[in-house]
Amino acid sequence: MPPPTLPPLPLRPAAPAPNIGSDMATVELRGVCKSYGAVHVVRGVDLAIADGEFLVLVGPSGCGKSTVLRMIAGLEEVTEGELRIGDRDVRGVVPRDRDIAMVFQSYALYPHMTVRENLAFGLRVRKFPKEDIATRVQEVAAVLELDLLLDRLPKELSGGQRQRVAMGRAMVRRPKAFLFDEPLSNLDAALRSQMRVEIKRLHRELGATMVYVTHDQVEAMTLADRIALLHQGTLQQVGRPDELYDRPANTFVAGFIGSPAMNLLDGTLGGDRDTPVVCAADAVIPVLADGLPADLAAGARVRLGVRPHDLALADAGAASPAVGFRGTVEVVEPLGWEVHLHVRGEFGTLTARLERSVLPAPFGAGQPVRLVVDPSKVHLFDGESGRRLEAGSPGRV
Amino acid sequence: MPRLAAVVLGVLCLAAPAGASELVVWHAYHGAEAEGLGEWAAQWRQGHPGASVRLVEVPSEALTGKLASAIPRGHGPDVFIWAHEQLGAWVEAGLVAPLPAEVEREAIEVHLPGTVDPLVRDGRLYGLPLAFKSVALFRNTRLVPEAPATTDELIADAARWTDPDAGRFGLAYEIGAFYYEAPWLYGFGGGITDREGRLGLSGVANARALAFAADLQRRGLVPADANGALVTALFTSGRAAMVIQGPWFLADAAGSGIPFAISPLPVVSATGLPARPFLTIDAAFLSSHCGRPDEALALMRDLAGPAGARIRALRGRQPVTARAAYDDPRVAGDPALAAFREQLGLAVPMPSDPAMRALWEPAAFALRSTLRGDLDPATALAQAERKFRIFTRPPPPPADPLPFVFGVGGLALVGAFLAVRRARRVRLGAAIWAHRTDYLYLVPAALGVLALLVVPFVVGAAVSFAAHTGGGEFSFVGFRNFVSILSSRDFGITEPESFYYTLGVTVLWTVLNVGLHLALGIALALVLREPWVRLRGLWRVLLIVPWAVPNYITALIWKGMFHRQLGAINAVLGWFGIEPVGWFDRFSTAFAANLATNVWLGFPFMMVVTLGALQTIPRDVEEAAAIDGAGAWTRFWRITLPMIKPSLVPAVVLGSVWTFNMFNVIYLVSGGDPEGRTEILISQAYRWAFSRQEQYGYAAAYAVLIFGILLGFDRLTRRFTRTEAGAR
Repeated sequence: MPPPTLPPLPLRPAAPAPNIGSDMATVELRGVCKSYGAVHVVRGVDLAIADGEFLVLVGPSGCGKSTVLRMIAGLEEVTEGELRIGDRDVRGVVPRDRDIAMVFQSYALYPHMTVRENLAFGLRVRKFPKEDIATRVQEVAAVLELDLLLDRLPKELSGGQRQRVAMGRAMVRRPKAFLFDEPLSNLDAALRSQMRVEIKRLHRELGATMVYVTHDQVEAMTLADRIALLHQGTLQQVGRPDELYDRPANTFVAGFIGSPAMNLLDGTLGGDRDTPVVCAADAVIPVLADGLPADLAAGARVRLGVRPHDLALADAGAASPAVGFRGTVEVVEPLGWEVHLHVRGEFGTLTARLERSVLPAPFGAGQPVRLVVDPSKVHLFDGESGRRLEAGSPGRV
Repeated sequence: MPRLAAVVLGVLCLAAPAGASELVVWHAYHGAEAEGLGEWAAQWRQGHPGASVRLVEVPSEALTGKLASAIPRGHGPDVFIWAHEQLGAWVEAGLVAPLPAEVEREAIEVHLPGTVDPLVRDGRLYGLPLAFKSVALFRNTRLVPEAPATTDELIADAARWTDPDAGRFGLAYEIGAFYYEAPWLYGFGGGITDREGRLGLSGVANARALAFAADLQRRGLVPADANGALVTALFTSGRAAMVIQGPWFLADAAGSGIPFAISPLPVVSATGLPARPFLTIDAAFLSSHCGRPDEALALMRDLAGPAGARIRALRGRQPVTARAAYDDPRVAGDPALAAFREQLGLAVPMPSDPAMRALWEPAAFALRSTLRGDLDPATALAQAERKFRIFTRPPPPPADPLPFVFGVGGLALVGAFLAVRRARRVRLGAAIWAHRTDYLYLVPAALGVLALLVVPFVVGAAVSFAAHTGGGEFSFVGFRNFVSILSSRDFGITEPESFYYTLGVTVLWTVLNVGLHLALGIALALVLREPWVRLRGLWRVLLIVPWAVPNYITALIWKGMFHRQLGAINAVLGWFGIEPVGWFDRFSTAFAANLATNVWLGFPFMMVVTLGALQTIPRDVEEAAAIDGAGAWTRFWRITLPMIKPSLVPAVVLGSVWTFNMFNVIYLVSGGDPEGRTEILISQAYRWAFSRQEQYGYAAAYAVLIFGILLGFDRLTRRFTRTEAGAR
């Protein structure tokens, strides 16, 4: 069924709408901090979210991503820094006057109200005319396929249906910006991927600014125009999903984005200026000479990053047998088309993701292997700070 | 079988002598009087080896009730000691035995004149006098060296010391209590009996006496609304120059260290007649069920006679009635006993007519409305007399119980039939048998409920169809109590004794209380939930304290705070230049005082319930509403309140029932003032039962009506909440 599009509605509030600034739904954080007493939850976040952008705040639990979202919503006060929605400084502005909508992880539906009343609540308290409310609720219900559920109580709905009501409650007001706080984490896997598509579609149709908090990198990668990755209250990297994937700014981003996670090994820079290598224990990995900072000297401690799918099995009789990771297969995880190999060697452990067809038969645990990687696919990070090393970046911080 | 009989006989033989050798005496004395009695008993035991006496101290408020229930069943004392004023009721109920004629002749010789007559009823003597009690004038001899002989002198002496701003009064007594008004009634030539000895209140002399008391209060010579504790406090702290008090005040007066003297009440200047207080005679009475009246009588004579009297006078400091006791120089030399003996000659024995008990309430209302200036004395007394006649009207004529028995029997049959049919349909017997162990565990609780709830309820309901004809006898009157109450036959609808007026007050009382409990409880719970509140645990505990303190203690504290001259509330109002408010003078303020007390008592319950209910609300629902555009008030009204409502509704029902029957606050704070206008149904029922001629049937009918109203209210709220839930 092709999804009906949401036609623009001539909404006429009975009372003058609260002053909500310009129509530009940009969100801007400058040096935003949040602390509870001596506990610093968010430390100096700078973030500019463009009008109509879908920004995903991602990070492990406790990283402060929900707090950032709640500060944008006005549910938490900003301890320090500046927060603007549109061209207005919204510090001290109550949530109702920020013209934003929020979808909660728990959905936070009003349990004593029917679906219809839940959807209409935001419009009713803003004193929209009754007919407009009814039309608006009907339309949103149609978009979200809630038409037949309008007179039910939340407790009579399934998880997915509740989720849709929560979305509808946000949509019905047509706010400048939507805030999502892990909206899919209470759903099962199938429903989650379905709702992901729905949200993506809604974003395309509504063209509204959306800020979406999740700890799930799949949601982040699939939904985001840009991802902001937070760790311990500090912004690690902001960029398009492919940027974060291809050029992680540090080892934390490198380890967080991508599944299975990037292999990270300690090593030292060796070889000469034109044919540099990284040595990790007995493994010798050639890297690209023009990918290195000019001032990075041989012997420098680095961290070597290789994505599992960039590893390949070296042919037994191939040239330069000294190159690559030598080790023994510990575990083989067959996943249909692909296979994950866990390999242990003197360098530590590695995960390799290989096409099943490339594996020689018979193949199993205990098998000695040599894994090689294309020098252009090797990521290098500073051994101490963990920052990405590349041409143009300083070799030592 | 013979062995069993032998055992039983043995037990009886063991039990019988123990009971036979001991005479049981009930009394309500404490302190010095109890010590005096104890000393006499010890001496009596020495003089009567083989016989024994056991003194049982019964709390004074319980003694008469216990006598009425114990004696007819043969469990009561052999002899009991109490004031003579209940004699009429006891004779009617057959609780006391008349004494032989020779004892009467002896008593007249042994005792002071005027102390035996009050114990005679229908020409027969029923007790031996022990002590006489009446009020007299205590004065602080530093402030008033000479006893005032006339009321003019009394007023002049009092005026010298009076300074209400400093909390000093020339004279203090319980001016609102009718007992203390009696001396002026007689002093002005009036009284409470007419020439035929019938009780009554109206009369010009009585009106003048009431006006005299009102004048004392208006001039500020006497503190308004004083109770016994206040009078004691004023005198013992030197803030009252004179007080009118009885012998029971001696210990306090002596303990205060204030030099004092006692003299008879003064002569009323306007009439030249002495002010004559009520006289009560403490006497020993012989139980009508006493097994050994001869021995008991001997004991009574010893107790009342010269030997016993001397001990009681010296040790117990009692104004004893036996003349011979005063031959002892130590007794004769006691100035306090001498003063009370002087007053005795001028005192009027309190009528022992059972109807007297119904006189106090209307008489007090008349007195207080005069003191407040609401009514002129004559009108107030006429109204009081009318109410007295209603309270003492004869019980309704007995009804034929036959139709009633048929009706109840028929209903019971139908009920039993329906119950049996239902039990068979659900196979109750089989179910009980299958779970017999479980049901066995329920038996103790079920027996408790049966004994403590069901039986009293059924008995109470049964009494509502009867009228108490005196002496514990009841006659069946059918629905006449209900008809009389519901038709408001005796009282106009706006009179405070009318059922509908009281119902209106009760409903107003309940609605305002529960509303304020809810508002305050919810508000505090919401504040306590706020993150910025510090020391939350401490606040929570402090706010529950009013609930934790027993409510009668709180009620008495608030009663004190509302006192016109010495209460904290008027003192605070005084800081802002507001004139002292006579809180119990007007309905609105008296009701407000009750309300304030009960709101203080009731809000913690609602607060606790709300706090608990708020825990169950996820915070993000309220946050969602805030983002949706709801302000604080809308959020509370549209989100928070509906979500905590399921927890609040049972609390409101419970709170309403408690408040509807909140006897303690009404009884202890306003006491129904003014003129019973702040009574609620339950306190009104209490008045009918215990201060208006023991109209137990009438009171039980009130209780049944209260039960019906509350049952209806509960059903209504249930239906209301159910339909609301159903609409969802």
